Amino acid sequence: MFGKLVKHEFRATRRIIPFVFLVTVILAVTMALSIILHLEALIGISLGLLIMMMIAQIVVTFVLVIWRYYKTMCGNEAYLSFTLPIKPQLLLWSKLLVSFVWVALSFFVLLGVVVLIIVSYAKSTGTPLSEITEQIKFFWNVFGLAGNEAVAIPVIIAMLIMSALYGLVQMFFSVSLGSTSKLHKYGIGGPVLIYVILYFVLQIVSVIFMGLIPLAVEFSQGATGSMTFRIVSRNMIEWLLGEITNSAVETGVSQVGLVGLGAWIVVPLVITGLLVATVRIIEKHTSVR
Amino acid sequence: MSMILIENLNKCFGPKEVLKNMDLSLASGQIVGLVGPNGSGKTTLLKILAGLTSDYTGNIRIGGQPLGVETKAMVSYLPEKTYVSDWMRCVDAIDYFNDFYSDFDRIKAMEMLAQLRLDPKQRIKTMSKGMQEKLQLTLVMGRQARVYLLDEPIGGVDPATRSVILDAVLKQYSEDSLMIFATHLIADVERIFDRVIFLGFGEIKLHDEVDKIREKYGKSVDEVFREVFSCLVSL
Repeated sequence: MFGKLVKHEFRATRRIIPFVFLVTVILAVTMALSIILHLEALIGISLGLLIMMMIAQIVVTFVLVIWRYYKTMCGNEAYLSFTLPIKPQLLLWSKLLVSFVWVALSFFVLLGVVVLIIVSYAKSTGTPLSEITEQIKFFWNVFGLAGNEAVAIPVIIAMLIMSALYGLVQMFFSVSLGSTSKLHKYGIGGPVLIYVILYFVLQIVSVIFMGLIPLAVEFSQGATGSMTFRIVSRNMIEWLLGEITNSAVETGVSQVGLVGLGAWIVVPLVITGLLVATVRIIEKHTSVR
Repeated sequence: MSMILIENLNKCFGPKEVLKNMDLSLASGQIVGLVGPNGSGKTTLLKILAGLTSDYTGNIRIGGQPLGVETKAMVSYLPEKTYVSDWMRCVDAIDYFNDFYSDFDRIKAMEMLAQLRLDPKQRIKTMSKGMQEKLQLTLVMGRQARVYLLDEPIGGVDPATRSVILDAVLKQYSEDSLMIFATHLIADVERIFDRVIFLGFGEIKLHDEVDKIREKYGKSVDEVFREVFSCLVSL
């Protein structure tokens, strides 16, 4: 049954979302051609439109998957969703999977657009691609990632996946909770209200954990000018207070930077907690309007 | 054995009690009219039986099973609202049901579409309210379900379409199943009822076989309904 749910979810969502991607691709190709053909007047316009479309694409993808979730879990179509002979939580998992795939595809489309523009620029200026690769390697080195690929790449991928899930799960939870019988009277305002409250609460929790959990990335500038980083067991608040004190007594600010990782410990916990809560709402407190 | 067994069912919306201590037992092989004025709890009762509302108290069994995946597989529910995605064509909706319900008969549904003069390729968003009702009825009656729950299936359509829908219901209804037909248009449908339940203010006011009601009161069900509820409303 899960496979069938996923199939029908793709069938329902594929009618619109790919067209949003298509608009971005068309604008990117226009931009690439105007770079290659040196159409200066068109470059400016297409660059502006492309940047707006890249932002809009992410927003529209999220809005469409959330709107689909709302319609099929809380709107009229919920009458069909919740009478299917399946465990209601399968609805959530299928929608989460399909939504995640669309968000991931959206990211890859944007990545493809950036690559296309870089390649077009290289072709237009006669810059060999190997030189661009070297530039990328240079930035990789500056951020101290060279030699740490085995750790850095999986961590970056995990962070991207968690970010997408974090956004989706917050919205799915808000829609589900905001549509329970006690909040019916607020209509679509219920989910919006829950989301706003949840967003602010999670921002505060993230900041607190980022500051207080003794786990951080320490950046420092090496002799060659490249950045080096290492994971340290330090509390970001303490470090910040130390920096302020040092500054106050004019001993100079250290060349070390520190970014707390506590928020990233919270993210998987919040994702898990919100998913558990959403499943519970769907299974135990369903009340289709 | 009861196909539907309800014991001490209560459902509130905030401070308002919509269903109060309801007990009900219904056997298979009958068409039951669930009648009552607006706000009497008909839709709420059907939504609970269909699994759309889980925040109630009481004990409910369908086919001996507590409400859940097994009972959803037995129940074919027609809501008042259009619940099929409007971008779908009739044939997409039929494929959807065919995928999820093992008791769905695609051939029977396609035949019913033809009988109701619906174009399988027509998109739902381009259909009139009556056409959408007919399509949803096709989907619901296309199943060989043990329980049919029809919520106001003739509520929003003209008298001619009402007759077409009622004929389709009778034609597709299998005699070993149970059908609950909620309506307040009693005069139009009482001919098909075996039994009737009068629901008022969340309580069962009257529950009996149609023939016995007619015999006892010497009136049609519609006339008895008007008497019972004009009394309650004036109170």
